[in-house]
Amino acid sequence: MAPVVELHDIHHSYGAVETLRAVSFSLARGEVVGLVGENGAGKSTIVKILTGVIQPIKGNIVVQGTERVFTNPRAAREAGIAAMYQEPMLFPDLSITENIFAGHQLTHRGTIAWSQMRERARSLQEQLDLPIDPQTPVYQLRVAERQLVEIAKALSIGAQLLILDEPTAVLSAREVAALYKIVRDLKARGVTILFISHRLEEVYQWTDRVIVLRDGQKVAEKPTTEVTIPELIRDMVGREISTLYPKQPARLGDTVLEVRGLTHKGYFEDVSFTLRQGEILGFAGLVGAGRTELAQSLFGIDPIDAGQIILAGYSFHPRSPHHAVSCGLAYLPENRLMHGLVPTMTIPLNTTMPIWQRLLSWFGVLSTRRVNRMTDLLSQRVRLQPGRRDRLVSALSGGNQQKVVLAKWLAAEPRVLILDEPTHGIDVGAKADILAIISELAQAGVGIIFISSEMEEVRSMCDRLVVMREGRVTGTFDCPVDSKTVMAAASGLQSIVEASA
Amino acid sequence: MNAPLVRPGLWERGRFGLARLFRIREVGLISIVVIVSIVAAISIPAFRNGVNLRELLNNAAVVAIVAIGESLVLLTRQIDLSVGAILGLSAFITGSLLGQLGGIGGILIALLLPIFIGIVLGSINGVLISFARMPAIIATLATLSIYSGLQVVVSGGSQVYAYQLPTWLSQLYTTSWLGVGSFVWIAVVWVVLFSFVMRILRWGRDLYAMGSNPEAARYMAIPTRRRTIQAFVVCGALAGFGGLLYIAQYGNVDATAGAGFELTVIAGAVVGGVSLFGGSGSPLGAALGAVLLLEIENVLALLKISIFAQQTLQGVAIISAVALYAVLMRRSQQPATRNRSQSDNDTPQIVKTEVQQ
Repeated sequence: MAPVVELHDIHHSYGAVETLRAVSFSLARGEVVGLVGENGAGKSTIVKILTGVIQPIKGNIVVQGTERVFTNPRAAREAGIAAMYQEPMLFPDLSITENIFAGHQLTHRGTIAWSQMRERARSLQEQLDLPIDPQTPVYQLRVAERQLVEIAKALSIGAQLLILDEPTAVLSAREVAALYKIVRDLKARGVTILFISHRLEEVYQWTDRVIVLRDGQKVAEKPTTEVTIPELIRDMVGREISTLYPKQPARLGDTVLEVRGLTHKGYFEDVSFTLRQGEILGFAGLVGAGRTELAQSLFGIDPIDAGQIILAGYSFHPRSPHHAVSCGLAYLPENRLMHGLVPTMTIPLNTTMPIWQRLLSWFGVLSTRRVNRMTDLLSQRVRLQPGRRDRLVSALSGGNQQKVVLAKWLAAEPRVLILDEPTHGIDVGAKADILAIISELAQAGVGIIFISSEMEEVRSMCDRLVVMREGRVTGTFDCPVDSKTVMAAASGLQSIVEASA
Repeated sequence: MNAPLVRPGLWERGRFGLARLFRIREVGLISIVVIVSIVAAISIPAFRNGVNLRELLNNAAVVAIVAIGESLVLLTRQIDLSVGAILGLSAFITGSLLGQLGGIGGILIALLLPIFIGIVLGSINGVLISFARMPAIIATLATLSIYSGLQVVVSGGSQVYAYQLPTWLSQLYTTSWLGVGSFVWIAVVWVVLFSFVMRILRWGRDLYAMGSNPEAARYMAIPTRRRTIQAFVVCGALAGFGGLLYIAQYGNVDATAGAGFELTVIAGAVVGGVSLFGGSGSPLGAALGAVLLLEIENVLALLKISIFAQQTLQGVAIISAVALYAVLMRRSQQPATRNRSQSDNDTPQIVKTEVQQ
């Protein structure tokens, strides 16, 4: 089959840093191709080159047999290449219709043909099963719906190649399934899809072919049926990762946290569990099951309507995050950049933030020497590469940022550590590191609440597993537990699980 | 699969069709203006007085016209602090030249000169912001200073007096048609013109897009620099035109004409629902906001409330308006979050995924 898009010998660099080296591949019509690699492997550089945001320093792009040079995003769009990012590039104040046609509005004698555009938008939305009034402003939509608007936009320009850049990380399981269905529909209609994801199971399930990038080079390209996930990981990381889930047995101590009948109306109800020292207690469930909300109530961010919390033998009613921290709780939020870090401060200042009071020199001034010494100690424990201490955390990769957040909470020496999706959006190598640190923390006697939507991860890392659905606990299991049981509790669909099993 | 295509929005669910209408900001604003007017007319006799009403409406018209221009700039997520200075400088130059000119040519020049002055001054703002990459608030703060300084230099301490102006201009203030003053008609023309421009021309939609998400606007290949300059040029032109009305209104123009005017204009636009974060609002809203603001000012003055207390109350009005918009915004976002938990009720597909492994 004739290729839709071919990349020949693409090179790119930012200053002295070579980001892509001699990358070539071609994409055929109606093919779904996975592009995987660790952060910094060059995936997003390829996306930017294909969409005309940046230009390669060497090499060429051939679209349907003709060589093209994209000097700007518009040129790429007109050549039929569209991209959908995790957080879609939309205009929140404007309507769905206007977003779909942004940059190529339908006009009639120089004025915008609103009714015509709305009709087109409606039919595109129907194809994508997005039953929302096209006049709705986009800020009212959920992320999944925004992604569909972005896809509708791609369809409206008759895109031949649709790039999906990490679309699933922010979606619930059901939304992922819906997106998968759309991908199959588009494939059937001859649209080529370049799928980028950290979730290798999805890449494995969705794609016909996989291309692996490492350090700016293509290191593997195989039909999906001929590779296994461990092989993919080895290609991505460039070394053998002995185990993805390095859980070490820990000695369980006394009960450190007991929660009875905890309720925050509209978010979660009647949640009870206990957590022992050194225990990793997993919280599984679908996105929106109320796990994050539970964590936020425990940490004093959101209120509690009913129920009781006993922390290390004392009744505890969290009033504020500050109060929770002073009682020995720590919370690693889902969105580390928004809630976990101050991106414009350096690594030492971020890591020591919870214990600044203890690092003051005379006259109450923060002592740089003590801050740095503390940071070195913590960096070792979280395996954060030393050197370049003065770097701003905004310049770090996702995995390293997460290590900084972990270091920050280690500094506070919490009794209970709540982790909310700690490996979300982090590449495989850093993920194994982070999970190993978590396991070490448990061995050191910290009680850990581990919220994760990745089934394998919670099943392998935890001592026990609490499953929530729609704000209620639907099951508590001792690990190991098989995934079917967990899924049944998480989705409430016992029968379907049995039927498909 | 057979879900209805239209998900009911926030207000459609209400029992009353009218409720839907109120979702449109401008309708709400008009109703508030009308309600305030009725209450004031009933309780304060002086408010009903013809002279007071004319004064109020003419004042409001000038502010509204400049606010339309300001709203274009605000929609692109910029701000223009120099509109008062542009108005003043345009008023002074136009006023001092007009005396020597008569006939149709004089009228034409009287109309075009202030707009031309505004275009020149506005394009200076635009170039500073688009090409010198200065933040709009700093650039226009500087040009505010420069333009009002120029006004003092040009005037050399002198004044333009009413008797120096052509008669048609001084009569404009009191002229009316169908019982509505000329200033109001002029303002209506500008509002209608720019409502269409912003709604049905690509140019107008580009401004909204830029303000709503500047990065995405660049990705969409919207010529953002050019549009920014154009927005400032139009804003300057309307401020310059406001200068002409200012002469017609007051007759005397001195070196301080227009000082502080920009704050009233921006406050009016904000009260009218134009977001300082760009992308949201409309020229009509800005104009109505200006009317509402001046109406409140007028009522307070008539109630003989001290000028200082008036200022305080106006500040309160601005904060209330912004707070109200914030609440409405949050409300309209709610349906999206509320649907969230429902969407995860059933998940046959993922279950399968898991089993396949």
